[in-house]
Amino acid sequence: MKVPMSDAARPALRIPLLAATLGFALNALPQEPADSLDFETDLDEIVITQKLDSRRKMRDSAMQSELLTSAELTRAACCNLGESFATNPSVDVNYSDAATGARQIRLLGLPGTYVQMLTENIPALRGAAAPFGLGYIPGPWMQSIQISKGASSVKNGYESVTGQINVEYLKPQTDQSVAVNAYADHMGRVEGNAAGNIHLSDRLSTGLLLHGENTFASHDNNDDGFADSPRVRQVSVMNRWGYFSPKYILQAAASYLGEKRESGQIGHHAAHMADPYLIDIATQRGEAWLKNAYIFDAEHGGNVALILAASIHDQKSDYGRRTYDVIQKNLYASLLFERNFGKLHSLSAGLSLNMDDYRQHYRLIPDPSTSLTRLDRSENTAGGYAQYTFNLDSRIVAMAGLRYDYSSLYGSMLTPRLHARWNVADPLSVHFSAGKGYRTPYALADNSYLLASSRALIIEPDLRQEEAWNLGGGVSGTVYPFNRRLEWGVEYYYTSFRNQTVVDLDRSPMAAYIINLPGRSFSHAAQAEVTFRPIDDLSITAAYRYNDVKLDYGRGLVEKPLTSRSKGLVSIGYSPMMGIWQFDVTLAITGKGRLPDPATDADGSPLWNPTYKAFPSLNAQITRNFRHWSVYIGGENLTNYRQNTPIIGADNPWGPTFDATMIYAPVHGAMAYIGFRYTFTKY
Amino acid sequence: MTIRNILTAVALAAGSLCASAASPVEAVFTVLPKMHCENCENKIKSNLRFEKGVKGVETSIADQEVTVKYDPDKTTEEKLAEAFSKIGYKATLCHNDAEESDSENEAAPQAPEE
Repeated sequence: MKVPMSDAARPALRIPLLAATLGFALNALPQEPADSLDFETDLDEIVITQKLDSRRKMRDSAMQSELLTSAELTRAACCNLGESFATNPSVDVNYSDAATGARQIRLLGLPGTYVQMLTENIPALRGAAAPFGLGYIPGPWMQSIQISKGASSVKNGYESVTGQINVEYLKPQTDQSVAVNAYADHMGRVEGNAAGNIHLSDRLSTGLLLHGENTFASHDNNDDGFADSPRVRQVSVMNRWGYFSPKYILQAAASYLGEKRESGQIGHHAAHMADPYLIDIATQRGEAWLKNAYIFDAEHGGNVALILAASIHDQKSDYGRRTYDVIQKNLYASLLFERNFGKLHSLSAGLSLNMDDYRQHYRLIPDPSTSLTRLDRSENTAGGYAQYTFNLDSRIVAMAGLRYDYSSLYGSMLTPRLHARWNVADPLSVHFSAGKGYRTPYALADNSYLLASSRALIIEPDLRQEEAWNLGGGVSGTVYPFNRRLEWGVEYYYTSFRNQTVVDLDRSPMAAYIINLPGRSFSHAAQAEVTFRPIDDLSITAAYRYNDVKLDYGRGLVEKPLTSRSKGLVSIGYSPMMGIWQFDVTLAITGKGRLPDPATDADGSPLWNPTYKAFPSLNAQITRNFRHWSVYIGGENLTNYRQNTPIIGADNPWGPTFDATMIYAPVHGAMAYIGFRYTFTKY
Repeated sequence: MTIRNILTAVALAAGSLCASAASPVEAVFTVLPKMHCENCENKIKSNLRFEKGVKGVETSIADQEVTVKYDPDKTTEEKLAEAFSKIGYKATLCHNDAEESDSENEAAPQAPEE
């Protein structure tokens, strides 16, 4: 079928097949060949029939994936990973509490703990790093983000339940360049980043990434005595290396992050307080990783890769008089083999080893005279996988994977996953996925934000490993009404937990029970999305998602609290004059939901409403690009919607009803920012 | 200054603007090294757009062609080729609008026989 196409809709992205295959093993992103070997086009090629949008669906993959390129990440402030989804209908980013600035992703209506986070295709930001991890990856360091929904590949382990989010950093092997950017907002937050890379030879290159941020002011616009957002000081640095030869590829990196986060009753509104409630979180984090690949059969994409990674995360947290300190060490090794067998078949198989060690010291009772309790926990997991992919000219793509892992804590785990896609024609593509995922719960590391309340933390002693099935499917396509490009998609995912660690905030307003799921727990998530280009330089995306997330704490099925039932989003991007100007506006409507059962005051009146209403959020940005410069100015939460009482009992944080975790909407109001980027590239 | 003088000045200014705004023409280049990925396309597009007189840039990896729409009063094919060389590409002109229109004019008297 011949499809009429405008100038804006040229189907012209060709990718070397081997680069695509290797790309997955080593770099995760088939569409990012800068990280792959520099193959010429005389190798076999696959063709992706889509325009080079900044955000694009990867219909050549069996998985339901989308790629956010660096161009997409410049449509909003995107100071860090957590702020990179403002224009995305699939991923929500919510605050965990109203005080610490901890954020978590929501995918398919479920918390970010069920999304496997990856950096450079290596599991990352796990456990203790998760609560604040979205702030650990600066936006200007990122080359792209890949989002995969539903059961994912078994290559990266068993942990993914609702999907994977993989971040690719800037690569040293790209054209030599120096980039600097700075950002400031009217709330007193200032950030600076620098990145540079150099080619030491035709094959060897290195790059340096630097980041620093500081919040100079603390605002309390709602006059509750608590800072609306934390004061964060952070520095981070990464050095990475790349060696690329026809037979051997090496990539390595080492990074350090130091962060100091202060919140609570700070600032001038709290200056007179004799005993203010303070939150102090100090974090130091080091990471190093190494990826080797030996290409033994370039013609058939044959390679063996060894990935090694290590990290140490040292976090000391004081929430008023409660304390949680943790040192988490992780070692990860993965050995992968991949090869194509003809044009139709490819096989990937591998072995992996993961070692987690947690040293925790905590005081859950708000009494400084009591000593800290020590809790150590280690888990070693060894496993192997095999994954077969069938690919008929990118028209029919199916991927079946099975992995077996043995955990020193939980024993055997079997993880089957299946994906299939049929690209019937440009207007219609059908996809389906099913798979299982597991996750080890760490009650305190996962939920440390709960300490920003007076709730007693009651933790069931033997938490089982979390285990869930995910099923999903959908249809999508590209059509050309009025000779203009229109992408559409409808999808549905169902997640059902067999075991889950749940936080029961309903049983008592004075306690948080972290327990094994006593009943059922499931999520239905349905999403419809349309992207239309009415004129060449204008792109409009409209999306709607409905979530039905319910669980049974042992008292019957209830709606999961602090989870919105729906989300609507309209995102408009206009980039005239070959993109020299760029205007972006995104309006999101977050749907209604419920809060945990409220406490009552002395009169018997509830301290908070048991439900919350839908609310809007508007972001806008204008960017002017110059040859080497970009200047941008924008605003977030321009509708100025704020949660009325984000902190319960803020007038008496040492009292029994204090709770900063009842958060569903922004605490701060409209915010304006300005920034610039400078890039000089040596060609 | 009377209203008539102002209108005359505006009309003259508008006339000179119209006179200077030649209609853009298209030139199609091939480049070496070949474009083989999105980064190559982006490199060409994001740099050429800032060249004086350039009104549009389209790339096609399938055809290995870069189509540049430009104002012939403000730049030339030679200057565009120089812009390619600044970013590491040797650009060779395949054809352009002007050549096509010339050849069409020449061909006009020899229109297909019926």
